[in-house]
Amino acid sequence: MFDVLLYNSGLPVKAYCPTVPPSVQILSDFLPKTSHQELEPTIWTRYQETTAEPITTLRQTILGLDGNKLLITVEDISSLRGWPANWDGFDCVAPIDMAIEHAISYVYEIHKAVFLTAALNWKTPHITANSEGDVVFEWWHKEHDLTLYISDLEVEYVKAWGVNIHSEMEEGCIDSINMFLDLWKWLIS
Amino acid sequence: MSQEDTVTDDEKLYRRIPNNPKLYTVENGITRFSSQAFNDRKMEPSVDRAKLCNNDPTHTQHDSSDGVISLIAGDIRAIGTVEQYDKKGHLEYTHTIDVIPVPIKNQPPLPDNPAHASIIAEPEYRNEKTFRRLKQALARLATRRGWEIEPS
Repeated sequence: MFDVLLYNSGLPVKAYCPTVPPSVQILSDFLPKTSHQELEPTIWTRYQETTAEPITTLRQTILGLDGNKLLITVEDISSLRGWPANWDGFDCVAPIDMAIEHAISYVYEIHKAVFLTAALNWKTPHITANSEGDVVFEWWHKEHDLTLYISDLEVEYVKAWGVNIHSEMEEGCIDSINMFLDLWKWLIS
Repeated sequence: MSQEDTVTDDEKLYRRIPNNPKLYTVENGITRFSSQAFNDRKMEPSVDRAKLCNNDPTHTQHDSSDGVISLIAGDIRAIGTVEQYDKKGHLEYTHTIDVIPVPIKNQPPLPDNPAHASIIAEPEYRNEKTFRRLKQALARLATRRGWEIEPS
């Protein structure tokens, strides 16, 4: 089955097929199409080779799945620009523009790593901010929590698998995508 | 020592959660609280002691739309100690988590609040990193207990 990564609302989208070998995972950049005849031939050929789903499913998938999830996340992060100081009712500062910019570019990066490179399922993060104006991504999966703190310069994490702050949590700085992927694999395990 | 001087382990504590979906989310029918619901610039999240406000969670609301959750003092103390290391990996501090009474009186513009208490670390944090773990733990405890009053 194809999934799609939308880079901007309605404008160019990139199709990925995570179930095939990496060499053919990146299928094409293209604008949203209305029928399979308008799709770039390689995409259609690969679609026929990998699935027997009807074209309506393909179209729904292209226009619906991960691309939309990511787009919603990006819009969610962008909306932080409108938040005032004290948005949390506990005297926080307003989210910092540079942190928001960093968070937007970072979410594309990690989505691509999860969805394309590692061929794993993406889960939309809960988007919020901390008292200092950093952007915060939070995921929960069973007993695993993963929280990212994204400032203008760096990305830090807290992972938790219980409430004991000494023996059931870990924190650190994420300095590579591979490190994030390790955290993701832990999250969904 | 009066009951106001010490927060006992069995005490229920109320925490205000403003009506903002960035502070909680509902997944599969379960309300999960964001760790950021425990934001505090001084890194000492405020709570109210239920027994000093007639076990009435509305006491903790600033606005009628605010939600209120509850925590148990002993659960907070039981979340353990957290160690803080320097850049070379040497142990600098071992923080212990506690709940202490901090009644508010004659501190305008704050209204008087004899039930007010704070969740603190001893010694106090030197940076936010260690505080993040506490917020994570408090969010998990709150998720287990759910709302006392749902935001509206």
